[in-house]
Amino acid sequence: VPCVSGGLPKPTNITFLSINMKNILQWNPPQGLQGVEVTYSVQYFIYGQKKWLNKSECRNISRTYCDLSAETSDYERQYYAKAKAIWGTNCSKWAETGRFYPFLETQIGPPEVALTTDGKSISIVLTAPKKWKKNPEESSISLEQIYSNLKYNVSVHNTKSNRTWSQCVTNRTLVFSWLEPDTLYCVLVESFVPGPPRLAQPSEKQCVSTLKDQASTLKVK
Amino acid sequence: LKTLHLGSCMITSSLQAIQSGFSEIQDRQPKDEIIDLRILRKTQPLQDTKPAGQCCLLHHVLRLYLDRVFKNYQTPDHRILQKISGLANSFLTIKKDLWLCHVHMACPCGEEAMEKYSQLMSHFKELQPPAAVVKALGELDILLSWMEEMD
Amino acid sequence: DGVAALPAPQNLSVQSTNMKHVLTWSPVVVPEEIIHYSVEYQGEYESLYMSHIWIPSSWCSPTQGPECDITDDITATVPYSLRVRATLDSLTSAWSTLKHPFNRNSTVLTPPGMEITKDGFHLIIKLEDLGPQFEFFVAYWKREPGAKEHVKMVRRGGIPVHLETMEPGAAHCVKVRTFVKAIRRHSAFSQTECVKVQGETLPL
Repeated sequence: VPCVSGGLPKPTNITFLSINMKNILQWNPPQGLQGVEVTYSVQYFIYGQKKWLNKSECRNISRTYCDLSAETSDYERQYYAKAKAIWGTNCSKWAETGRFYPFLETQIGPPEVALTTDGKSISIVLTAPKKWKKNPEESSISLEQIYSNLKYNVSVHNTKSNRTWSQCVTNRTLVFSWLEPDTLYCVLVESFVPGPPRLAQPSEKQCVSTLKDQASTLKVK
Repeated sequence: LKTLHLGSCMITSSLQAIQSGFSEIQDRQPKDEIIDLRILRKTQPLQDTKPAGQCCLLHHVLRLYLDRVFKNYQTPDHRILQKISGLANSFLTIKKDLWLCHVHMACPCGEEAMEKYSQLMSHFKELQPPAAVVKALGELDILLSWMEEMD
Repeated sequence: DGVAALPAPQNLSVQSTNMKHVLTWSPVVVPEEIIHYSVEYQGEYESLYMSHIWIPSSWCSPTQGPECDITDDITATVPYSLRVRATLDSLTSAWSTLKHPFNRNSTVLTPPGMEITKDGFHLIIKLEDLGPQFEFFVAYWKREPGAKEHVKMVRRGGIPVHLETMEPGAAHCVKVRTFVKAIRRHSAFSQTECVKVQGETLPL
């Protein structure tokens, strides 16, 4: 039964939250409807095509987000999406996003970081972040395949000297040798793509300690 | 600094600075209400053009922007006017580099390039001039990402 | 109509260092009065395609001082025409235009400031933050005969960057110059700085 459009205020702040091309449409409930059990429906549009398409899994939902990753997986296209609030026979007008361009707007998640030590040095092995995929069985696409200029900013913190230094790399293996003995070193890594500003997400901090002082170890002055 | 390989024409450009300038005004543009029509279409991007014709196609697209988009863009907002000026002058720099390739016979205009450009122009002309200007400006991120992929 | 009653500013010139560009002029003096100025600019695009268009400067339309930071206005590597006029209440002077258009590729590039430190055996460099237009070309070597010079591009100033792991007992030297992508020019090299890590014995 078609609802009476405009009888409710629209959802607000409707945007895409995109990380590694996992594209979630999210919004805030309409203002002034606290305590009212509102549901929502979602549609999306491929820029340059002809009509809005329903997202069936997000019809009459009570949550305020909808995963449109599959519908927006061609990252070289641009998209719009919209949501409306429904309550009984009343519904709001559509609240619509701006044009969403996954290739330029997706946040690049951190790489996987493997941190090991042989006691005197630490080695850092990075695994590039992966593009979202619909099924686990699908083969993974590394974001390095999509962004040829993907780089990593590796930050190393010496907890004893309380010094932090960083290094910008494109290769995925780093070794820092001749470290101070019996010292905890903590590592953070951030992926980034030179170009328009994007939000960045550093990796979880990982720490490893070098071995205690041995008989013939260097004394650093 | 980005090196664009356009067949036998090679130019360098600060694409990042242009992208940053555009992203500063992207959210303050008049809304492009016509969402079922694209000027720069996925079916004929620059990077899928044969290398020999890429320079010519890009040269023509930049000329479209310089002659008919930036020139006809109206705004009372000085901040946007300043950013548009920065974009226009940066595009002019690239176009001058492409012109040097043309002078050195490194920018041939093959049939494919001209066919793609005429398709693009037909999309542009489908719209009323003010709407075409708003849409073309809104699609600058598409053009810049096409150029980004020409390495 | 009061337009020419106020003298136009004179002696316009641009001082530009490290991509910071300042337009200056001789102040117009009217005893016991405060003179305001308006600055406008025209890039090569405007002069070629729409020569009637002048764009108000970001920070100096209007301004009181006889100078204007035009850095945010000069955003392309093309010649820019610049003009200034004075205003006093309803009185407005004629425009005074910079004799020669200014192109940012003429900016003076100075060697960057740098801070060389060590964290144990690790050589760390922190470079002066000159803004997003600057990259840094860092050359470093071990001070010994025939030593090979290594090079690293550092994309940003203001943060400590790891250069290399030093060997004990040897001095390691560094010099830096800036590179500005937008104008494809680099500065002269900085002074060379060296650091040394003492050490008695090598690890087994």
